[in-house]
Amino acid sequence: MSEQKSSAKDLDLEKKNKRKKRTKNAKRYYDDKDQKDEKDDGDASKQKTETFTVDGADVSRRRLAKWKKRRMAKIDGGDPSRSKVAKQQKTAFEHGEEAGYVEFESDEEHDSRLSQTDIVDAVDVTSATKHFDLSLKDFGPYYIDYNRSGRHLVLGGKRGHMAAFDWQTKKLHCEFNALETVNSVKWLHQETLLAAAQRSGVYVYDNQGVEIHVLQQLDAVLRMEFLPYHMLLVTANEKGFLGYTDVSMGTRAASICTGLGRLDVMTHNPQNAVVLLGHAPGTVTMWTPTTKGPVMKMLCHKAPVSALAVDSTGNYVATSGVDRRLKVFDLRTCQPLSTTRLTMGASSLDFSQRGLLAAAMATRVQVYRDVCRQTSVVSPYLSHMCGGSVQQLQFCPFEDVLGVGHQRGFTSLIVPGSGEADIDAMEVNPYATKKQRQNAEVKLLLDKLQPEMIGLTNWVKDLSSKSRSRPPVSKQPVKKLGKKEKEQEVREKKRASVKTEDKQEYDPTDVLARFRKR
Amino acid sequence: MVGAILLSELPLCERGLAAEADDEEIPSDDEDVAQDVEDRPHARLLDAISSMDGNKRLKHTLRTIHGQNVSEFGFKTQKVDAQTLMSEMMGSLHKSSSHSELKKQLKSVYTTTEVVDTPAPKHIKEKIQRSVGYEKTVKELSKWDPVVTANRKAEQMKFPLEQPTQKLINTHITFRPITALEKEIQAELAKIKPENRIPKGKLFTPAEEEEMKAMSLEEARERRAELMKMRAIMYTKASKLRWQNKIKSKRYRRGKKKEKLKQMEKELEELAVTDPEALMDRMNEVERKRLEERGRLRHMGGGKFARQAKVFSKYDNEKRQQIQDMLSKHKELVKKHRQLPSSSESEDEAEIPNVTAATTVHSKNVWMQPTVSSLASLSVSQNTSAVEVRDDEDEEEEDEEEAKERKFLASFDVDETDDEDDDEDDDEDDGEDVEGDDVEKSERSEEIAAVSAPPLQQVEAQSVQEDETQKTVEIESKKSGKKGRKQRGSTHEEEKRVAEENESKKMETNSQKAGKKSKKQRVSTVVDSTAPPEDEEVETSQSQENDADEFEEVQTKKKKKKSKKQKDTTAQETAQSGQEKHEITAPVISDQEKPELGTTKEAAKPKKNRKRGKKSKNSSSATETAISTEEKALMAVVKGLQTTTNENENPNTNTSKAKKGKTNKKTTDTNTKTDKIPETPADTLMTIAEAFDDDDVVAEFVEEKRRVEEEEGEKDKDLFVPGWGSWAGAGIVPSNKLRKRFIKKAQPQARTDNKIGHVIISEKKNTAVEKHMLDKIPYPYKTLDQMQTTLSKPIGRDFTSETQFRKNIKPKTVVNRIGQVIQPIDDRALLHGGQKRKAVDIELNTKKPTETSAKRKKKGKH
Repeated sequence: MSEQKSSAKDLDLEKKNKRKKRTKNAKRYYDDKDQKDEKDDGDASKQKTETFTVDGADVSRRRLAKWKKRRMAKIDGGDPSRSKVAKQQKTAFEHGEEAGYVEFESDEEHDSRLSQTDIVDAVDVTSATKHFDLSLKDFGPYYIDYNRSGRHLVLGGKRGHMAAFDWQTKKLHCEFNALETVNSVKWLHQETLLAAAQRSGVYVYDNQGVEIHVLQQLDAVLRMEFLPYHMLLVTANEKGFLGYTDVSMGTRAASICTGLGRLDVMTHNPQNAVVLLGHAPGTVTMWTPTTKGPVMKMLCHKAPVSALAVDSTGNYVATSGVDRRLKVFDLRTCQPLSTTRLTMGASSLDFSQRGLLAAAMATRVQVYRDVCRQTSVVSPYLSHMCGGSVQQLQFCPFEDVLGVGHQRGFTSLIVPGSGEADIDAMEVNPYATKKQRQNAEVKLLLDKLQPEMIGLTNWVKDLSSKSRSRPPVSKQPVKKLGKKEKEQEVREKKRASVKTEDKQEYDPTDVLARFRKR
Repeated sequence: MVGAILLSELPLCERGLAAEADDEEIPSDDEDVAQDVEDRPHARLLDAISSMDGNKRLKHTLRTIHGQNVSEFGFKTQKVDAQTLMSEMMGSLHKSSSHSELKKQLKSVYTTTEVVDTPAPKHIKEKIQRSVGYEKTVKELSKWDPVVTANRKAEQMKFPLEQPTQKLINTHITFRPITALEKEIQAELAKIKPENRIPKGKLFTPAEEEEMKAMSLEEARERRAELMKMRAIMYTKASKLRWQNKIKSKRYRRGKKKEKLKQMEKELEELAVTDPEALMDRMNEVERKRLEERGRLRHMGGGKFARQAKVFSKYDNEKRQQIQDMLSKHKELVKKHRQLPSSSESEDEAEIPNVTAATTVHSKNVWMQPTVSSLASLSVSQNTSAVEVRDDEDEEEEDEEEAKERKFLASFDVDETDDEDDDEDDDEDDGEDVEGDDVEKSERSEEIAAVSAPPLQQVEAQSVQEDETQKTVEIESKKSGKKGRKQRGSTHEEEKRVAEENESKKMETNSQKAGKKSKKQRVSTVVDSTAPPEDEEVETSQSQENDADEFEEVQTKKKKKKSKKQKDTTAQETAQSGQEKHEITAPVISDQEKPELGTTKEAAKPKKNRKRGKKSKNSSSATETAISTEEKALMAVVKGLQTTTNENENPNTNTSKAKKGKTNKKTTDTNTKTDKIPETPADTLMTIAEAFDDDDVVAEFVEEKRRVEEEEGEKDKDLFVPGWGSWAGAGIVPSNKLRKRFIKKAQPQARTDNKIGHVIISEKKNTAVEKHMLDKIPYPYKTLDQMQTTLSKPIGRDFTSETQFRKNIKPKTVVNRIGQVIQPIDDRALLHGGQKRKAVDIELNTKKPTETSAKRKKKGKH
């Protein structure tokens, strides 16, 4: 019994032990599991904490970037992958003077893959309307001109089709056919007048398309430029004549025979109103209305010069020739700043107000950045293919828009950062009312500069050559005069003044007074 | 004043006292009288003596008659000894005990009063008054000094000086009606009954207060409590709703939707029993919605619409069928896109199966040739791009949708099992198989596109080019989509394999390309937008250097003999041109190679690199149209140049012409070759550039510069006089040595362009300008620098602020309207702080009406 008991006891014990063991095991198992879990958790938490501690900033930044991406996508209304532009458009705040440009994150993206569709997708609705295409197949290639305020555009087809319109509202002012070859179109001082270089002469139309004036003595004109501050229309013709016509008076200010052959490359320096011409022997000449010969002549290319452009500061000139080079010259030192080899010579060049340079090569339009600041070859900032070979390029003032007149019509391209954002309404006002426009016209006439004032140097400060021959005034002995003597002097002076008037001499004090008044 | 009073009273007092004394002491006086009588002759004597000097004097005549009326002029005033002192007169008063009042009076007089001086004579008095008055007026007038000086200094005076100011009246100032209208309004306001007016410091009118009193306190409390309760309920409800709206739990939302659907079902059942017409209306409405949905192509999966459709399908078999059709149609649309990668199994090209399919099937079709087909594909992709792109990019979402759709289909009636199976099959086939129908459909669509392509090519060439980059983006996105699909490990194993193969092949081709030199050229010509390679950069810099060297060399050689120089330069030129030719010919050759390579590659694997194909299309479409015009323009340029070259009479012109002929041939060749990829205009240009290289432009320019320098520079002066220092006459030739000695050599000019070889700057004076220039330094300036610095600061309207400009041009005169009376200056002008105010402030001064009026009032009182 005892044994049994004992055995029973043992059994019990065994059982107990077993149970204990089991529980123990179980406990251990669970403990282990817990521990494992804990460990896992710990690892995870560790990792988490690590990520947050080590590059917590990174994480937050990445999150922010993600959020921004999504946000941009939302704003754009497109998918995030397409909002390349939006992503890369940095605010003016971040960039200071570099504001307005599209910045590329990497070089891979920066092979001018930024297309107009990309831009149009990214920008707001109003800006998106600034990219448009006019398909005008029958009368091309088209010459274009934006007016000074950048609101109005005139198109002149080689085969006579002319159209003027407010390109932002797309409101047509006039459209007609000149029934002649049109070689160039140009707005005059305001959007009410435009000049067209036709086969038989230069015609002046108003914005309703009514022919106002014909300058028949200006025949076979190939290029025109308008100097707004001097109110001069400069024309260059096939026979090598350079003509200056005063638009305010209707007179010819100057007519120069350059003797340099066909003049089909022309531009002007906006700073000093000197006209630049490009010639077949690769030279660029600069002209003023009062000098017989060129005031400056530069050898820029070894082949004919095909296009010219002067930047808004008047310090740099970009030239392109048939030798496929694009050169930028510093006009202050007359030294080439950079030489770029293009796929072909640019047929048209233009600088924007902010210093972007657009070049047209056959059907391709390329825009370069910072050409005046870099001495090395630049890769294009933007590139675009047009439907036909490009005839003329022009940046629209005060807008991020590049107008391209080509074989098959006109294309308006959005070029971020090209236009000047700050408008000086006292100077040019794109939003001028009729009254303001009229006032501006009067002001322009009052402030008109004489054609003689055009020159490479600022002569205004110097004294005329007459004074140089005379002894200096201050060295003359000063006498004290009595009453009678004074009267005598006055009389003499009067007589002298009468004489000088006869001689048509200028009273310097009078000039100064006039000058100071202005 | 007190002094004056005393002066007038004292004599009276004395007189009184004298009179009293006379009355009382008569007897004693009798003795004195006798004494006086004795003194009289003595006094007379004194008078006589004193009057001898001619001056009028008061006589020492004394009273003789004792009487009541005493003349006040009888008192002695002149001599002290003759004066009667108070003490003498009143001495006896001390002794007497009476006259206490008088004593008191006297005492007070002694203690309080001072004796006033005798009044000054009239003329002195007047003098004093004048001087005092002068001082006073000077003081008064000096107040005006600053005002006067300011006005005198002022550059501009505007009358009236007190300009009316336009100020905004503060609202806190009590309002006084001034105008007629205001007064009228005021009168109207005054008519309002006092009970309807809000009294000061109260919130309600008396009438309102009356009303408020009408409600009892309990009622008011009850009402308030009610309102509070309502508000609380509203708040809790609103917050609950807000909270519910914010729940993002899917389960909750699903439940909610189910609830809604159930409710709808119930309603429909009810309607079926009660109002079949209404049910029909509802069904019609649903049909309309379906149409809309169909139009939008957003009817996939378990959308809201689909769920609703499911509910309605119970009641309408047709509808069910329609929905089925619709779904299957959608499947088709999606499938067409999905199968694309599978078609590329046979070929190694994986990117554009669309195009490849088209080309393989319709190889005979003229329109389906590479360039055109690519265009066609573009147009196709354009048409469907919107859908495709979205599909590809939202791949995951779509898959989810698919799953949903499957579920949705499964939930349909059992009758539709066949259809369902088909659908599932479709799903499985998706991306692997090519169903016959689908292929046909796709082909058909492409055919249509291809047929419509030729006009498109011309009409929408621009648009195509513009969209080109967009398409690249699309295709990239497609790629990414594909990758994503692979990663998800869906059942398309084959596809995976194929893709791998593709990649490997691509790698191979790349390596091959890398081996060849032509690759770079191709890139440079094909990808126009990329920057010129580094080699070219180096080249350009070299060429720049070369230019500079040339100039230097040419200039050094200029001193030597001309012919030699010319030879040198020409040699140099030819050498350089040779170099350049070498450079230029290299790409030409490569370009010739290029099409061959292209064709071989195309023959081997017709679906080569997608980019390549597109570029070829690009060049064909864009440049083909451009070439003809461009060439014309260039030839015109060449013609224009020929005149100049003829002038130079260079032997090289012949060669250049020959070369031009070649170029012409080349261009014509390119024109005739229609099936080949046309040469880029750059090639033709290069040859033209070559032609111009032969023109010795640099030497020409250097020669011109020399000529200009000669023209503009000083010339040597020949001062030689025959016979001076030697014999002269017929037959005598003066020696050259002597002649040379007398030639005054011109000084070497300091030209601005001396150090710049490639520039000629004219040194001619611009005489036309001189009429605008000064020939004398004007008055305030002493040196030219002073004047120039002043002149260099612009003061015009465009350069300074408008206010400053107005200040500058302000007329320095009196500004007055015609007919305006200039009033004499008022002392109001003093109020504005005399000295402080400046000339400018005069016109800007502000009148303060209250102050001035107050002051005026004060002045009026005085």
